[in-house]
Amino acid sequence: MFNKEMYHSIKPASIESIAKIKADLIECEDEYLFSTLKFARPYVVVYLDQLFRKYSVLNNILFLPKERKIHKYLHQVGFEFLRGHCPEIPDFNEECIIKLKFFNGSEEEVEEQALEWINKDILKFISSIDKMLKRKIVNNIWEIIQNSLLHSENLNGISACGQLYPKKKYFELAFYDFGIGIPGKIKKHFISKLCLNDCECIKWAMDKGNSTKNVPNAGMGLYFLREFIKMNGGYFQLISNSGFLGHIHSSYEDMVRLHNLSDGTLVNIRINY
Amino acid sequence: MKKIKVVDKLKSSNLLSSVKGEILYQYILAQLDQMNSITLDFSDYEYISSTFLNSTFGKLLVSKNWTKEQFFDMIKVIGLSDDDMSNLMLSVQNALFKNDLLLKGQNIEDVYLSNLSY
Repeated sequence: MFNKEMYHSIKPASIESIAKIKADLIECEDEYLFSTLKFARPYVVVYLDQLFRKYSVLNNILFLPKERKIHKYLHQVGFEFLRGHCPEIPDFNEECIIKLKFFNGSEEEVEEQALEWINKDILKFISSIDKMLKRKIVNNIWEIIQNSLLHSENLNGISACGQLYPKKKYFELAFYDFGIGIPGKIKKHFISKLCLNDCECIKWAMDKGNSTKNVPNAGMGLYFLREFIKMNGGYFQLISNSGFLGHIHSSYEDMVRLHNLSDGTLVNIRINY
Repeated sequence: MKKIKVVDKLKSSNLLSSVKGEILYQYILAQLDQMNSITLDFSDYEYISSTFLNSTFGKLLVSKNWTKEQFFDMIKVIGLSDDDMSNLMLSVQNALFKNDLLLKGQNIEDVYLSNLSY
């Protein structure tokens, strides 16, 4: 049963509302897409980044949010597809913004990109953390990025950004790729054999040893991520196709079926430090 | 027994990509042609991923069809943190479990289907 009070990061209804932007962009015949979007969190930014990389490259459509503060935030976080700027709006605290980063290329190139982003945009602000925790953070961020590059079948790589909450001693990261999605990949691989709904597919992918790779030595990355988040006392939400899997407390995991089908895979995590 | 310092061999303390895992795997294979066992020293590493572990140790186990005992007789690992050693063990156990089933003629997909709890 979905408990609205438990979700501090993403609500299923929010995912459903931003999924509508895609339809608006596809139908847009102007130079820019005007939007009445009322909220902008890291997961919105990465969704917009992937959306515009996929759909606006050919006709150069830009994004114009009505809310000036959202416009300012998108500019500060590094969103490239923005129309205009808002000099009259004061900057948000730069030390709380984990800049948008786009990962694409060979595995070695992406490894270098990922380490640079993590060191320059994340760890720089929390440099006093325990070495073991630092290692876990890097390892698990890599698992998310690499998983996407390996499985998503997406030519547009993966986008990531985040937010630091220094007073609360945690940060949130969001990752999004506009690929086939975890359920899409699983259903494609197993065809009709594995009869799981989209939420169950996501859960299956996070279980120990499960993988669509046909080799025995695979299937541990998302499992390690899940176990790390649980031990850290953090959160994760994994949204893929119409499946939503969220973890808030200890071993409790919630599954919600989304009404608007969304492409690709969104991973949102909160890590305490 | 030969001792190899992994970060020196791979010229990197970041052991994340499967490409690096594959390089280490190939090197280990070549060494095992000439000697009975090998020690892998991970001192001074910064990061290590499941992909790397699967591409090195998981793949080694599968290609050699070793049991767990044979694996640890042939390969000694030092210099990893307790957490990362634990992850290595899990990766090895995962590969071993699935490889055993393959050797018995079972299909991995059928294993997944029969192990579903939901």
